[in-house]
Amino acid sequence: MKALIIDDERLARKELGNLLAAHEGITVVGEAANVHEAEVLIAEHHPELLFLDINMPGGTGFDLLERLDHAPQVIFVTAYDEHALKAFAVNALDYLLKPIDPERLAAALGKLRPSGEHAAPGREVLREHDQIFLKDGDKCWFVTLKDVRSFESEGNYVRVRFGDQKPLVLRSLNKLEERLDPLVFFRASRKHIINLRWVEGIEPWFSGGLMVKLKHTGRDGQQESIEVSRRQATRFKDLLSL
Amino acid sequence: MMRWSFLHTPFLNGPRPVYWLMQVMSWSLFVGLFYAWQFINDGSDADVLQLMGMEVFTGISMSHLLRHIILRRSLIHAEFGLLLPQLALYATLLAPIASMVEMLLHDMLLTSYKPLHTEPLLVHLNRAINWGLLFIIWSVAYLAYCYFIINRREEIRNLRLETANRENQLNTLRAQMNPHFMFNALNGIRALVDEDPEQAKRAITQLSAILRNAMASVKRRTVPLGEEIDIVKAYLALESMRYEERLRTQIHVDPSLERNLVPPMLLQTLVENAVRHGIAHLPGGGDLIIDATGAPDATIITVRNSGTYQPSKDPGGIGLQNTRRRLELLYGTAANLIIRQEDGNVVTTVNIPIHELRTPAPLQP
Repeated sequence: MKALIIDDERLARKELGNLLAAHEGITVVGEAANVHEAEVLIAEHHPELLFLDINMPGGTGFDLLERLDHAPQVIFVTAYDEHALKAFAVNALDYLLKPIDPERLAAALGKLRPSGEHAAPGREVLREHDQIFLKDGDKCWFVTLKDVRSFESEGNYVRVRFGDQKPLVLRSLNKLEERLDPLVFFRASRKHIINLRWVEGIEPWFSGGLMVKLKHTGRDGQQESIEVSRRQATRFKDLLSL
Repeated sequence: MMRWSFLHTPFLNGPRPVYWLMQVMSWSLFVGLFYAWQFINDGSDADVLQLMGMEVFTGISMSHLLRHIILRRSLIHAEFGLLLPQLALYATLLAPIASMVEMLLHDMLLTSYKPLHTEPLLVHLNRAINWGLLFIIWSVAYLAYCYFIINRREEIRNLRLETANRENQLNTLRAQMNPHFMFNALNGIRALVDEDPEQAKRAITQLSAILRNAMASVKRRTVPLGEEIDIVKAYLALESMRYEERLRTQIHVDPSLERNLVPPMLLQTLVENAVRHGIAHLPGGGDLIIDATGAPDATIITVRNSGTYQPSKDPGGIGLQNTRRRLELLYGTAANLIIRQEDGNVVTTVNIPIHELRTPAPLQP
């Protein structure tokens, strides 16, 4: 598995590199001292695993993940970022504390999904099992696309609905549409992309449109529903009849 | 300068209702008792109230003058052995003046009595001696009152200083045992063990020195600048191990200043802020320059670091507030701390007086 080490301190990178030398399955393809270097190396090597420090000059580890279209597997390596790691309470992921305990490192590596199962980064289409990283204010999420019910455009932002969360992230709905698997994600209207796996029922709506009911009931007791515009309604029916 | 600072304290300057109340009450009581004694011995006097009023007025005005002299001559800070002779001297000088005033008032206002100035010299001398004795008693009582107030205020100041020191120690401990600093340093040392065992050993010693110093600094009001600089050097060496070429430091301290006393951990706090909030945020790193220069009665320390000063985003603001308060408690208004942006640098200048404030600082700044 190709891995990238991202940390602003040379000694810290070296220390982690030394520890990883004992793990044959992991190949360190590069080291980056900041977010910009990391972006270049990720584009070049498409690593499947990132060892990521959180506090770095010129941009945090979260900033890096936010810029990536889809997130490789990530193990955070940090000296002490209690509040930063708290951001992940919703869906915990692994992190290592410096100085790194070799046993903890081995355990974290053991929990990784094997490289075959995980899509190689850089590939064009994001599949259902791919993960994306979302950040809204202080909160962060790693979300598997199959859990996302819908994307809704709100100005320059997109609201992502999954579980009982609905963070607002800086993305463009059009760009997202280009990357998402068209067999799973459907552009219902100018404002919405829906996940077809979550569709429960369809009702005819005004002026030739459709109202799609999703398998989710909000806190207000209302079933989530999204309107499909007239233009898209025909395509939608075709897609479902397949 | 220091002598006068006492006059600027609220207790002796500004409205003094307690002082005036005590003056009127004690003189009235004394004169009242005196005339009551006379009444028992010699029977009643026609204009006794006017007589008493005149004596009370003379007593209050003359003792107020005496108070003025006591403050001007700063007798409160005089050595005890010199105090009594001086008090006796001033009382002796004031006594004839007081008896003169008494005589003038008496002869002008109480025309029904036999004029005092026609009395023989012995009577005047007797009156002057009485006044002199009264003034000595008065000034002893006044000084006792001052000592009491000063003592109480000194106690309050010490308590506040201790609190500020303790708070600072907590902050420093938090900063030094700042998990970020500690664990990053330890992580660096772990890597150094293979790469450069000698440097790893040095780093461990430096880390111990910093921790020891952070724990010991509570008990001390001030430390020699040289000691403080040593700790700062150890701290910077450890940070350099982490930041490597990104942290470029220079320290210029005139060796003659090394014995100057400064509050413990003060420079250390400033340097930490410079690294944590300044250089750590710069991908290319930056310079940190520490300068200490001497002024006639102060040590001036300047910490200059690359970066931008952002007071609103500064979590070290609490550290700075605390530093300012410690300076104020130790040195009053003579010390100051200024942070300013200069080109691409944040420049922090502290002016630390050589001498601590000896007189109590105002209770409310």
